[in-house]
Amino acid sequence: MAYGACNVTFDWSIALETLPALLSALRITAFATVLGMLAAAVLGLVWAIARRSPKRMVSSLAGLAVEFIRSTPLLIQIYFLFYVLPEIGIVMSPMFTGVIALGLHYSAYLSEVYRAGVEGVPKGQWEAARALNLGRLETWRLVILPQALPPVVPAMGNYLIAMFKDTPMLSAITVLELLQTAKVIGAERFRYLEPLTLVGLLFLLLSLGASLLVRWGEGYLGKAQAR
Amino acid sequence: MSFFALCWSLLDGLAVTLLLTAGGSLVAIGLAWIAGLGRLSTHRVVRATAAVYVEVFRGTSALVQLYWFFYALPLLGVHLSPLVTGVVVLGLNIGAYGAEVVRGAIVSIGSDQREAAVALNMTRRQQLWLVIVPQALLRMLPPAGNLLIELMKATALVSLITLSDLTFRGMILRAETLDTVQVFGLLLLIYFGIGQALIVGVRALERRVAGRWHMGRAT
Amino acid sequence: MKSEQQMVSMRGLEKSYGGVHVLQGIDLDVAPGEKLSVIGPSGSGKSTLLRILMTLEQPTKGFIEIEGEPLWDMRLNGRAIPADSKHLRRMRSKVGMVFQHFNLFPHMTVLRNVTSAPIHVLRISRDEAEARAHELLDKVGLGAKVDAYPSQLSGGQKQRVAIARALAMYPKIMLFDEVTSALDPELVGEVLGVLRELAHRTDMTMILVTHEIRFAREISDRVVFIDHGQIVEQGPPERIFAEPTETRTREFLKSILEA
Repeated sequence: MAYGACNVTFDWSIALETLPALLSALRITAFATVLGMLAAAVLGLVWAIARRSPKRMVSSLAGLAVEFIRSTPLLIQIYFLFYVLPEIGIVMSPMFTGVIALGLHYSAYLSEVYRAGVEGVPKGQWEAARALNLGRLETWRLVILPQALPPVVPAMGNYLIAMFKDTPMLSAITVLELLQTAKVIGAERFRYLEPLTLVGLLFLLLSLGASLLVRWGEGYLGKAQAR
Repeated sequence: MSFFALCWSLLDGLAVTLLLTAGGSLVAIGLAWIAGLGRLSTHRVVRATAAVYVEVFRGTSALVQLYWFFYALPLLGVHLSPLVTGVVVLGLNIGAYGAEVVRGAIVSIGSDQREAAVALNMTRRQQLWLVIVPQALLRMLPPAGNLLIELMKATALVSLITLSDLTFRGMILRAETLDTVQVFGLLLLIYFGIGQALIVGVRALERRVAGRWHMGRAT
Repeated sequence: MKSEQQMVSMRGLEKSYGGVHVLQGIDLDVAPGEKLSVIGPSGSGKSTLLRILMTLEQPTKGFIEIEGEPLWDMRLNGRAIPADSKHLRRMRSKVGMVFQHFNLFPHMTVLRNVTSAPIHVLRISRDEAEARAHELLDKVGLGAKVDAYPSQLSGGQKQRVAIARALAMYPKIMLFDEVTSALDPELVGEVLGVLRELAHRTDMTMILVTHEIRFAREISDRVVFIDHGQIVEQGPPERIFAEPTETRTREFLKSILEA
């Protein structure tokens, strides 16, 4: 396929014109990412603790739920919540529906991250907590989590980046995030090349920057632990 | 609508989804090897090209890539059918992650193996293909299995570029029947089933490879 | 040219990593067919010497020849230039090495471990390579293990396979890098037995880095004692072990015999 026979070339003036709208849409994308991550962090912890529950029923149900959420498409989960929540009387904006879907989907990944962190805590710590007669909740809050969480922060950072890259799926339920905004601009002006390329570049720039931060965090953490 | 009628009407979509998964995996596996080995090449240009490919396709979102190939690429004079676009983009996207799996597994093989190969006077190519790659293969399989699941999940995105895959059929069916819970529930179960089948397949492959080489214990 | 060509000849060999000088000017000749033992404390640079000979590492300074040909340089229009991979491969074909940790290929059977390089590097036929491998494995007492994988063997068996694998490439010089150090004490004997056979029955040049003083005394034509990257003393084993002239040699031998 010959690129020489372009019928359109990249027009920088159009790109510049669309940039402000895209940058303001980036705020929506960032907002969805941060809220989604908060939801995922909390719900993931719930999964992780449930999976370690002494009740077989609870732990295996949690395991199955995590496996199910993780191995089915986020897009359908988004649709599911978008159409089903109103049917059962929960009406909320597409944006919040999307945030919940993102949070739910990534909670399954984060529960694995938490699990790795918890498995990294030496067995003796559980025994010591029992020797001190701490309750289940206190054991988690005072002994296990403070040791399990810091080492997994970089892994969580990686999932934050992954979630950021999945936010364009919210465009499917009309959330005006980056991609949807680009599509709208494209439809108005019949110019998809510039807005879509800009969206790609914005994602590339931000996720590469964030990856560098995570890598730096890993190094910092490695040094802190060596001390 | 009866359960079986529901299933039946989704079958065509399932075929498209499976086709995309298979085609996308083939492209992804090919690109993963090319780019993964490329990043370890002695040629600077090859290394840099592979690195740019990996960073660009890991750094941007799969859906953005799909839209770019669907809406923007034709404006540059490259026209691909939606199906080809789906296969190519899924392959490019997951292939970039796969390249890191290939590279990581190869780098993880200890230098003692390479040194033994040098002592036997093997060329660089022989060291790689006779000694390093067969061992790295076993370490690639578990992460490759995870990527396969990611690819299968990502096929749902093609419904947004007018391809009538499982998700697309499900959307139409939902609009017709308004049985949201039933239709989407079934959809999720089908994807889950495909995923489980893929996991079982990859695990069996792992066992076969590991079993054949008796690599349970360290040497 | 001298009438008697040395098999290996080193002049002023130096190697340093960062600021650490592992080898500090080694001059050493090895005659064809000679069995040479290199002894010395750990970290003295003995293994580095072998690794440079096997081209696993590049010397920082100095000169090595194998059969009168420079190892790390080659001549082009009368000028010495750094060796290219073709030259290195030609020189490597004269040398074989057995490692402390065996370095067998875990994904290949014993037979494939021994035949893969002859088939792919020497390009001899599979039948011929297998016939030769069977012969070599019989010699090291592992004729019954051809279809086993390395993970199914004991350390001593692995090391004997590694020896057969190196021999299958018809090297003129064999390097043995502490080949019994990683073995359980009861398995050392079987590997030394194979080495003894090789030393007595072949005219291969052998350079052994070893801690087995008694064994070195028994099979070596000459012993070299290295400390801090320098040759401290060398000579026939009877003299080095019985009446070393240098204090450092005496102290080392004393420490190792008391251990």
